[in-house]
Amino acid sequence: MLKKILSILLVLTMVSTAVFANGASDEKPMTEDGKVKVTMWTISTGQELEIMQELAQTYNGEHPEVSVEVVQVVGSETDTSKLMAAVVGGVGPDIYFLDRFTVAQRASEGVLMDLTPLVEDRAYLEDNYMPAAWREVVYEGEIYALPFDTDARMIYYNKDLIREAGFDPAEFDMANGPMDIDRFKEIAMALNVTDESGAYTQIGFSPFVDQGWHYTWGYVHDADFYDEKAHQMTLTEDKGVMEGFQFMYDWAKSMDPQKLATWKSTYYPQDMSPANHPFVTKKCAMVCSGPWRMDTINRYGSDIDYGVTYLPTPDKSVKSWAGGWCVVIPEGSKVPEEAFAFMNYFAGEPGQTKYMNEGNHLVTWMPSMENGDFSGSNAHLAPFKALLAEADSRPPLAIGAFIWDQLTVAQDKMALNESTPAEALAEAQELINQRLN
Amino acid sequence: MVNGLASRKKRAALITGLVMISPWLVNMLLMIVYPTLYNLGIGMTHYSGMGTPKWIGFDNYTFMFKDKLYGKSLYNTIYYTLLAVPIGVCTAMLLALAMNRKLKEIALYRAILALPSVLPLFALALVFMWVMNPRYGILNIMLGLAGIHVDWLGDPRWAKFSLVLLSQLGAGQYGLIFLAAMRGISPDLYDAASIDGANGIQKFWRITFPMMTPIILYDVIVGVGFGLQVFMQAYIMTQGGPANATMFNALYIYNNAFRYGSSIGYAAAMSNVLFFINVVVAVVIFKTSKYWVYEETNG
Amino acid sequence: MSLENTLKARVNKALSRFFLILVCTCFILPLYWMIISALKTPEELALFPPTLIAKKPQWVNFKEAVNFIPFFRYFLNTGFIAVMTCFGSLLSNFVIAYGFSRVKWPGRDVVFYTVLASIFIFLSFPVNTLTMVPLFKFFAGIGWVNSYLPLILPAFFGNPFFIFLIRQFLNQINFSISEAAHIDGASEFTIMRKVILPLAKPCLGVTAIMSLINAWNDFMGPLIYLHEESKYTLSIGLTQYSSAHDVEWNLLMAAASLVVIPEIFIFLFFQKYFVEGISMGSVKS
Repeated sequence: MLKKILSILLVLTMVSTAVFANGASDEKPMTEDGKVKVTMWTISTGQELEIMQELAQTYNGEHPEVSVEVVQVVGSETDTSKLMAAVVGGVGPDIYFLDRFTVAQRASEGVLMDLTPLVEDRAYLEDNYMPAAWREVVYEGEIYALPFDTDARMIYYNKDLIREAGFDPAEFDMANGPMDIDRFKEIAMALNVTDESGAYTQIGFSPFVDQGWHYTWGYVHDADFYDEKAHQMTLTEDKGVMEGFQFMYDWAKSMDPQKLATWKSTYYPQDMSPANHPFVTKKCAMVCSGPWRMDTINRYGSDIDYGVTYLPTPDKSVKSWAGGWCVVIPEGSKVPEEAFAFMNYFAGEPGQTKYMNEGNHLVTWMPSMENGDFSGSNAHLAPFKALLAEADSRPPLAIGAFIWDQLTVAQDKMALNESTPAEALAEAQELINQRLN
Repeated sequence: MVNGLASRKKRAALITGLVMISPWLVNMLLMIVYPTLYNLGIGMTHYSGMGTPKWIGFDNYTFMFKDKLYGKSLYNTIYYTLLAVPIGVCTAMLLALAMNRKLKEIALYRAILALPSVLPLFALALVFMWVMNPRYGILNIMLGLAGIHVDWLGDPRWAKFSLVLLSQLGAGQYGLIFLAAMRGISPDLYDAASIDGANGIQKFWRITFPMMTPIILYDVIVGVGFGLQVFMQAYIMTQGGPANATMFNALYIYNNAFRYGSSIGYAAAMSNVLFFINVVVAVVIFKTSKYWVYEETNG
Repeated sequence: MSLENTLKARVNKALSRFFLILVCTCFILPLYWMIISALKTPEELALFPPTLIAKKPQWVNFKEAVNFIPFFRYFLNTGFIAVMTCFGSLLSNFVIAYGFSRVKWPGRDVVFYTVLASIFIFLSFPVNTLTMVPLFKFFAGIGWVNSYLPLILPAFFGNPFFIFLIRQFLNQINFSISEAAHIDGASEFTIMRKVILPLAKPCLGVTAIMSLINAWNDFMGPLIYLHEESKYTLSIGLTQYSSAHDVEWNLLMAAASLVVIPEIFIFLFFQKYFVEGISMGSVKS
């Protein structure tokens, strides 16, 4: 009975949609001067947005028959309610700038157009995009996005604070390769400073700050996180994940979990201004972050004498993980061919080279990286470039955001020593398995 | 003849009345009846927001029993409500008592106390982060004088209470409501009590409080409604953390509807259950109110 | 004896003042902090402990904040939506409440229960998630997405809170006034407009201010319905100060202050109505 009522309701909705929808026509949107209009949405701002808009302008100059417009919209990495609403409402964009690790999820939801039929030479793309990035844009064998930029995780260290504590900053130098993780901890612990009440006023390092994520410490310990063939997360069986979580647990324990948490809520609260970043305010001597943090430090902490180095690892091998963004075509676009042509330009050599050279970003188009200009303001990117070959990327599962949230909860429990790594991971694994089924 | 006139008048009144309230009927169909039916229906499906929903019967409801996160979010929500409602009533009462003083500049105080309730919650929440800073926040500086030190938002044991504190900034509005009720109490009652030699505190418990129970009932019902749907504070200040300590039901529903793919059906089912819980709680409060709410009718 | 009494009264007054000033400080603090942060340089914002007054007030932050986004365009858009919503609320809620209060028709009180029930439903649904999806589907179906209609039009069909508030007020106005006018041959609509409307000003004041402010603060509605930058509102604009990794904190605070200041003026202007109206609507419930 209920099913009947529902189907009647659904039919009614569909009929009213068909009758009233003003976007029902299949005509291509045109500008006033007779060009095909392609709209791209991004949540980027500032310099990043400017570069994207310049790219569109250049492209429009070379292709007089189309007019690409880049528009800034509201959203976050995992919250795309705006995009969903627009697509359902029939006023979605033709191209959307999406966090790459959510491609699988959005594809499974049916929001993204399958690009495979539009791709002429799949092997060419596969060969030229960074493998970790390409892995993220393919879902169930089909291509749903073109990768754009990428990033990497590294340690920033404050040379003055390290010297004050009686260590030699040269020990951190990249030329020595990654530091042994135990030695790293030893130095970090010696850099902790407390006031008379016992509260930390300065710390050496916290694995829970900035890019110190669950994935970071897992990949440092050689974790895979998921089984590609079985399409399952492997939190409980994966030795590396367990070791990564044990590392976080032990770190919190040796600093007193509650005191470390209080340090974090004092100097690294949610929605903080970048000028208040604890590395800038010298409240921590070392921090794990990405390439973009260099800009923050140069802008707000110009007096800091700092260096950049690899993540410390147990076996002194180079480890990192790479995220980044991509471009997709949402369902409902009436100009997929034109949109895809621009995407090939935007996420191909011209766009990526410009984004790298002018926007201080690492990119996924390998020829752009190889021929890129690593002098001047980009000199700081050079060390990160070397990292990308070793970088892992997050599992391309359809519930990426859910997995991220559960890992974050498990990580919180490590920070507070609320439960053992095995317990926290078992719980996360159980919730994830429930979702996947 | 007279009868005919009366019934014609009645019919005219019916038409006038219906014409006047007709916008409301439209509103009710569109904003209440249709969403409710829609959610009942969609709660029975697997739906990502795109394409056609897939019928799965009561699976979303049975999944709730298995889903530990759902249990946790419900526990947090009830915890928050049980904390927020009594504290809210006490704050409103205190503010009303204070605003009832005969001072020259009382209008200014009233304006200031009511002001935060018109400001956007997200702006208050952003600023409140600073007030709650464990080391430099004004709150801990004051408590520090008494030797108390709390990591408000970083400690799972305090996080929910911190959000309750934030919501007290909106208490000015309820303070005004309480104040109005307080002023409605007949001065004769106080005069009679004075003759009997009652002091201020006795007067409060014997007259003011009982006379205000109807308005307290109103505040409790509204407070439970708002408590059960607490969302914005957690969304901005803690995003459910630390370790899910502030993962409230409404936040979990939001995550399922907009952040985790293909879960709009589950989100709708959870909303329906939350609604049901709210109805049950409100009915229970109403039914028990006769034991503590003062009724004027017999007097 | 009387000396002791005056002394007691004075101490009492002083204590009340102390308590009120303390509480008021707490209540004004967020606003103060917002404005003071707006006036700081990024370097000063980074100081621990934070400074209580801006060393060198950076008025230029306001200028930058206004130039960072099309602030005045958004301001006008928000103002338009808010004013239209306010107008719609006043019109519809007054007429509906009148129909529920001053016209006696069979079945009236039964229908009024739906208003009460709706208040309850509004209170108990997590507003943004539950009614949002179906309503959005509806407005999308009739092709109204990316227009102001879904944000403004519902106001023209009444709101259970305001209906309830105004009805409570109208019930208190003496019914003999209407009867006298009826005998003079005035129609119900004339009475509503000429006689009752002027008397209902205080409760319409509350309706006006509350609907203005709700529309001004609304975030979710504009977020999902407006998809063109030229149509955005201020609450959406505020999110544009944060990029993928960082927040332009001082600019955000400057813009937030500019968003809030008109509300404060509206509030202070209508304050008397607000205070009175809230009291009236609630007491008799």
